[in-house]
Amino acid sequence: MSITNLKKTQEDDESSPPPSVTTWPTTALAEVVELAAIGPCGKGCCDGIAAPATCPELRRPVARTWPALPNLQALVLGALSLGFFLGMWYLATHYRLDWYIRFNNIPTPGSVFEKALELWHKDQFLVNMGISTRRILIGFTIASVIGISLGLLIGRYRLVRQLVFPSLEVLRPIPAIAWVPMAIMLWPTNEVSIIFITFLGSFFPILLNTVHGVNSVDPVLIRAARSLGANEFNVLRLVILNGALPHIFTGLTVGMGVAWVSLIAAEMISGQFGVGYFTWEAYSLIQYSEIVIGMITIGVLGLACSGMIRLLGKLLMPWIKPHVGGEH
Amino acid sequence: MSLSGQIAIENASVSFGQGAARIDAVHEVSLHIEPGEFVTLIGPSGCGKSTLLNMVAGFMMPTSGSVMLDGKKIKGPGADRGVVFQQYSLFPWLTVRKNVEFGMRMKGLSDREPAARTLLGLAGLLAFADHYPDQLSGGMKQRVGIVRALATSPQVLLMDEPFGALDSQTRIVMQQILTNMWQKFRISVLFITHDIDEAIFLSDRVYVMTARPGCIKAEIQINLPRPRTEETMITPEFTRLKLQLRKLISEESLKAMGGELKDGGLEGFSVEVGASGVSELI
Repeated sequence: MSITNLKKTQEDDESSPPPSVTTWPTTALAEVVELAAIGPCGKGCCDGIAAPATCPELRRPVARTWPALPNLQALVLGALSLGFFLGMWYLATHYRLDWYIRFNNIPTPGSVFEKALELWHKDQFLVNMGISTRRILIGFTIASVIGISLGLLIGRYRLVRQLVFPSLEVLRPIPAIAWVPMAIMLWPTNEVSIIFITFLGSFFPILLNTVHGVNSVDPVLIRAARSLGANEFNVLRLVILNGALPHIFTGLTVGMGVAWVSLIAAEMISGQFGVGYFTWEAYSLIQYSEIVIGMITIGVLGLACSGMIRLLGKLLMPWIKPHVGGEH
Repeated sequence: MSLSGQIAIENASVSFGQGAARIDAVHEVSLHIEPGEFVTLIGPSGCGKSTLLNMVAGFMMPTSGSVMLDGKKIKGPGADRGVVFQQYSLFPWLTVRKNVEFGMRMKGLSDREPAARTLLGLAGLLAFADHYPDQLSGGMKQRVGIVRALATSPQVLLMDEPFGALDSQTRIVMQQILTNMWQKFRISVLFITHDIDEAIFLSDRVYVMTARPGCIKAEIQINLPRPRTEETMITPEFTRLKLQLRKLISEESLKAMGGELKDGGLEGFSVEVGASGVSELI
C-alpha cells in the first residue's frame, strides 16, 4: 500500500506544473506526510514503522482492561498473606509456644492493638513520632541537597572528583552508627548529633548513585544540547541532572532506608524522644506491647517515607514507564 | 537573511594519540560546501567521515588545517549548525514539543510553542507533540531530531548517517521528507552515509573518501533534476552514477579490510596495510 501511494504522489508531482519554490515543498511534504501517517494499524496513528506495541490506538485499551483482574487478585492474596501472619502470631503467643524460640513474653495481637488505641490518645507517643520524622526530614534533606550537588560535580568534573573522592572513599566504609560517639563529641546538642547520624546514613547512597547517574548519561545527549546552543551551566542543569534523575531516585530510596536504620540506632543509643528511644525505653521498663508498637510504627513511618519518594519520582519523571515486574 | 552557510575545510588533518600509538584519522582533507548546497560524504566505515562532520559541528578541532563557516574559524559547537546524530539523541525526559523547543529556549526566545508546532506539522508529527520520545518509532524519532536541529534556524545542517538505523522502506520516506524540508529552508547540508543510493538521491555533490587515513578520493557532481522521485532511481544516469560510486567505494572498502583489488579479483592480504599481528598469523 505504501509503495503505490508513494508512486501516485510522485506522478502527481510530475504532472503538475513546476510549482514555485514557496508553495510546492509544503504541498509535496503534506502528501509525503500523509503517506507517512498511514501505519500498520490503519488508523494513521503510526508512520508505517512503529511496531503495534508503540501504537497508542492499540495500546490503550490493553492497558485499561488488563490491571482490573490482577488488582482484585492482588488484594485477596495480600489480605491472605497478612491474615496468615497475624494468625501465626496469635497462635504462637496465645499458646505461649516455647521451642527454641520463646513466645512466653511476646504480647498477643489483641493486647498490642488495645495498647495502641490507648497510646494514640496520649500526646507523648505522637510527639515521639513527630520528633523522629523531623529528624529524618532534616537529615535526609541536607543529605539530598549536598549529595546530589556534590555528585553532579564529581561526576562531571575530573578535577572535583580527584580532589574530593579520595577522602570520601576513606569515610564511606564507616557505618553511620559507628559515628555515634564521635557525633556526640562533635556537636553541641544531642539533637544535632542524631540528625548528623541520619544525614551520614543517607548521604553516601545518594552521592554514589548520583555520580553513577551522571556517568550513565549518554554523551550524544550532551553533544546534542551543545549543538543546540546550551552552555555548560545549562548542560549540567538540563541534561546531566535530568539524565541522572532515575539513578538519583534509586539513591534517594536506598538513602531513606539507611537514614531510618541510622536514626533508630542513634535514638536507642543516645536519644531522648523519638520512636527508637520509645522502643528501647519500653524494653527497659518491661512494657512488651510498647516494644511491638514501636517496631510497627518504625515500619509504617519508613514505608510512608519511601512511598513519598516514589510519588515524588513519578511526579518528576513522567517519562519513565511504570515498571511491571513478574510476568508469571 | 543573506545567503550564508558556506563551509570550507582546508588541508585539515586529525590524529589521535601520540608517538607510536598515533593514528591519523583524517589526512589533509579539503572540501567546501556552498550556501544552500546538499553535499554528501561517502566512504568505507572508519574512514573519518564522522571526524570531518564533528569538526564542522565544533565537537573536535583539526590537528592542522582549518575549518571555517562563512569565513570564520569554527571554535566550538553552536546553534548556527544543527546536528542530526546517527543514534537517537532526543532528550527522553522532554516531550516531542519541548525537545524541539530546546534550542529556542537556549537562545532565550519566548513564545516558542507556535514555532515548534509549525515545524512539527511540517514533519507530520503534530499529533505526537505531547508524547515522550520512548513512545515513538525510530523513524519518528529521527524526524523529531531533524525538526529539533532546524528549530534554531541554523545555516548548516550536519547529518551523521541519520537513517542508518532505519529499515529501507522508512528510509525512502525519510529521504523524501528531508529533501522537502531542505528545499523549504534552503540551508546547506553536510550528509554522511554509506548508502550509495541515498547519496545520489539526496545530493548536489558527493565526496568519496579513501580508507584510513581518510582523504578525498573523488568529487562527483550529481546533476539529476529535482524534484527527484522513485522514478529518478531507475534512470540511466542514476545507474551510471551508482556504478561509478560503487567502484570507487568497493576499492576503498577492500583496502580498509586489508585486501587489494587487482583485475577485479582479490589477491591475498598486503602485509603493509594489515596490522603486524595479522601478518604473523598468515
